[in-house]
Amino acid sequence: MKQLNVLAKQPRGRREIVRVLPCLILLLSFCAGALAQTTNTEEGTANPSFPVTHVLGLAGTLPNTPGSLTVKAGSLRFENKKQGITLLSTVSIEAIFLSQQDKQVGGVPMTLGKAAVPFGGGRVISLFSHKKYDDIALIYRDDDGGIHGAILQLPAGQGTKLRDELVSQGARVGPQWDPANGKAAPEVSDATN
Amino acid sequence: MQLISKSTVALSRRLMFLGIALSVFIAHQGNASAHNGGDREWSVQVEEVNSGDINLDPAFRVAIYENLLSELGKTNKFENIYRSGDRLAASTPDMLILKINVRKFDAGSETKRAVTTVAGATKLKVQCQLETRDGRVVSDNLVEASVRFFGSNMRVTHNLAHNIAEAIKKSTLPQPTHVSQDGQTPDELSMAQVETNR
Repeated sequence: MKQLNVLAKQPRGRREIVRVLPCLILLLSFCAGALAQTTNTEEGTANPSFPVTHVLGLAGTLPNTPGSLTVKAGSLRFENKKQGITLLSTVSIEAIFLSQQDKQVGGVPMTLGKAAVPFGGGRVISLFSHKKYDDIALIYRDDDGGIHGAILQLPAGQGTKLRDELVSQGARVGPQWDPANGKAAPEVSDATN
Repeated sequence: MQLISKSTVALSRRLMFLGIALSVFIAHQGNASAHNGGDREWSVQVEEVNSGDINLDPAFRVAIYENLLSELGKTNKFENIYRSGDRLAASTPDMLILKINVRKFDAGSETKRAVTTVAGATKLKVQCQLETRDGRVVSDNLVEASVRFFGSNMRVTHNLAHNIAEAIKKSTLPQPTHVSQDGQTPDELSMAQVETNR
């Protein structure tokens, strides 16, 4: 009775807050739990998508085509809005080579723009207008046993992730190239190496 | 009479022009077939690019190989073009094997080229050999390519493939002797068959 009296003495707005607050806390805790569960599920099953440029080699896709790449259900899937989807079985991949390239950004328009800058100012711009990319070279075989090569260009740092994804889906890494001396290093047994 | 004679003259003139045009066309066709027809029966199998001791990025090897297949297709020099390891190539007669050995590679730098113009060229030099199945070299060329001003380093592979295809297109190949995979000519094959029948 005393408690009721205390509540009765408080102003009406405050009483509402006191009633709603526990419900809100309860609701928030449920939401947090649900969100955490969803995230875990996505981490467990989702296939990350890589923004790539197909430099050359994938059958049915034009060279220098930008697109997105996913690796799932034992196949590498390259998707471009105009050219559609290209699939490549990861089991057919015999070697994956990872290397880094340093390229000037902006293409032809940027080159022309730099050439137009007076007093050699374009050269100064060139000093800063370059970006590093990861190049992934894949060697795979077609149904007749013929060897094919494909090159994919990714933002720096993404190459290792894509290689790991491919290896987890059955692709072979093959002997690795050592940029220091150019000799083939022993085959990598684990993609994390 | 005059009308008839005029029309006859016009007709004969037309016929004459037609005849000349036809003879020129036939001569051109004959030339073209003589130029291409001699080598047309060869097929080629392109082996993987061998970089040996040269420090060449594998991506460049892959790019040379793929660009080369594409450029060879444009030459119309060969009946069929096969990739290394293709099972269909084994049953094809008159096969040449194209071997590419890298001799020199300067990696260069696109940024250096853009900043200095004179430095940072990417250069590539290869030896390309066309061999018959029994190992006889029918064409041997040293081919170079470079990127000096504009374009990425990888562009050198496209230039090189184009130059190799041009060199092969210009080279004169011997007439195919229909050598099978086990190195026997048709005459030898038929003799062998006769002997087995006996």
